[in-house]
Amino acid sequence: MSTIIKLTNVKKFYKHSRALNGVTLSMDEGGEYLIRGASGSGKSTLLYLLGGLDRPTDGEVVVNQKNLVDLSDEELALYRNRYVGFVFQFHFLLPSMNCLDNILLPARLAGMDAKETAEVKARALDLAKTLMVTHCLEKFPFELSGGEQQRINIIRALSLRPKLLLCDEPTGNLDSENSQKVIQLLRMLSREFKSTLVVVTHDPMIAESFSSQFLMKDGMLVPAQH
Amino acid sequence: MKTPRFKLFLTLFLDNPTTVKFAIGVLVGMAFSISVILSTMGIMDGFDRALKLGLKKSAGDVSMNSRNGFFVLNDDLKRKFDVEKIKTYSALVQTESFLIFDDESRGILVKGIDESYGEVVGLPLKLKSGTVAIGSEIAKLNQIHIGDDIVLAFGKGNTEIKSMPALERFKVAGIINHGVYQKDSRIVYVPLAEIQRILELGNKVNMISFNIPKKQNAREEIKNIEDALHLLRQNFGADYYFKPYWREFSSILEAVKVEKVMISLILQIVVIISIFNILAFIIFINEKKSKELFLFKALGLSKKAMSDLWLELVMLFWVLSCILSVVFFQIFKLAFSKLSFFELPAEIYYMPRIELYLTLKDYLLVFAGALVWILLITYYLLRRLKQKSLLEGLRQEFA
Repeated sequence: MSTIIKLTNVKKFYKHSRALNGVTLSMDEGGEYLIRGASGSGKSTLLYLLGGLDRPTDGEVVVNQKNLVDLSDEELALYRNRYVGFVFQFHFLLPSMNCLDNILLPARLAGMDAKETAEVKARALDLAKTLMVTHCLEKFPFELSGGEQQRINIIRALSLRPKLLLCDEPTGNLDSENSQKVIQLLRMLSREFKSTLVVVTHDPMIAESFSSQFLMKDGMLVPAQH
Repeated sequence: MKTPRFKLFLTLFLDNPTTVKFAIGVLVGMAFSISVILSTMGIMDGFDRALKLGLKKSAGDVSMNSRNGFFVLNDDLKRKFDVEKIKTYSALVQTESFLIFDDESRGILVKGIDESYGEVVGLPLKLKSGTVAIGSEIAKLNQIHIGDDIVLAFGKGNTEIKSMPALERFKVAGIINHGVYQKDSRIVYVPLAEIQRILELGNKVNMISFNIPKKQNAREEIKNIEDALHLLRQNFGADYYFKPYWREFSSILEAVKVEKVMISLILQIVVIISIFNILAFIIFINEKKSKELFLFKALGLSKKAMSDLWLELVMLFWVLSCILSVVFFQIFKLAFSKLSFFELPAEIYYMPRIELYLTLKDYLLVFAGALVWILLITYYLLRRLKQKSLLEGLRQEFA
């Protein structure tokens, strides 16, 4: 497997804190990675840097041989849209749209034409069947359970076949049974879509199922013990 | 405008009653502010237009007088008018007199006219012998009606008692409204032949009123007349002098023009204040819908694209405000023409009512002015919003 992500001495400082103190790591294409650490350890910051949601104070964030630091705002937006799928802890579905429209949001924001949008819709319907939420597509988010909302969220994240699937505490809002199901689904789908899966969590139960793990501590990355 | 993306953007806040109410409030406030400027300009333009129209109705485009007093409209003068391609002209006698009715008298301006005068000024002035047409304010002030007999007293012409004025009785055949109080309260039209007889003038007159041939571009009317006056003065020589219809009120018309510009500039403050409502709306939405806005960004909307969406929204506000302001303006206009509250003391303001009037240029100037302010102020805000970190917003939202 080739390296898809390479971080070199990445630092991220905020006004009153240092979130990352020089992180260096690499991840292979199609791999499944878990980053764990205590709250405030910098794991989410690392994920957002990988996803192009923020820029580092120093260092290089190279994804698929492109240094995100060098990308313009427009290029970074395109990268987020076409290359990255985000799954957040909170379902993050727009309450004014039904679930299908929520799923099609990335396609619409990208300004895709009718043909492309139809393809995305077909993919979304397939995924909905796989995740057993077909009955939810015409419903609004508030009509769904937490687990169903997260599945819709996952479908949206995968709707444009991203190369990177970045999940920030994807099970933080779910009970243990649903948590296991969601993680299994994420792993299954990332394999099916040949995406690199990066999950950030502080949940030790989830951590058990990942072979490649990193531990964040005070803004530094240390190899995790299983 | 990328409609699908903008539609998505609109759905963010149009499904929420609070934000919808806020948006309507912003829209109405902005439209009202614009309409205040439109109405003010409309009053100024309406006054200017009505005054000019009234003055034209009372004298035609230009009045010509001889420096020697009375003169005859002879073939030489007619030829000169032909040379200047002036087809519509009318010779008349204009003199001062007193109108007496029911033991009340009033100083008036008598215009001795023939049928051609009506064509020059565009008024229904076809007088039979022994009849007169009086200004509408004279009729109102002296309670004179059509069919009443009035007496005109002339300072010259009493052949029996030389020191006494000549008194002539006429029947009122028409009441004329020029639209300018000073004209309506002074002018009485008498058949030219009668006045020439009373004043023993023969076929002499002391004034010729005429219209300058119109050019295609009607907006250039004043310049057209000024240019024509220049040529007329050259061709008719020093014996005659010419007055354009606005000369009598030129200072007030000039003052109105200056006032219009000044008031419009001052009223920009009203527009600026209402633009702050738009800014408040943008800030409110940014706070209230920060989760959704940052989701848009996370899913691939660039900062520039987000700014463009805000700009599109602001432009939408501007367009809708402009449309609504025209509606408000029409309501003001109707109120000005119908409600007694808006009646003016005509002896001071020259006319009892002002009909609001705006040209397309006025609309475009006001709308463009509002747009410039909107773009300037929102540009500043959007720059500040752009500087806000995406992650900071997400963190705040999930904190």
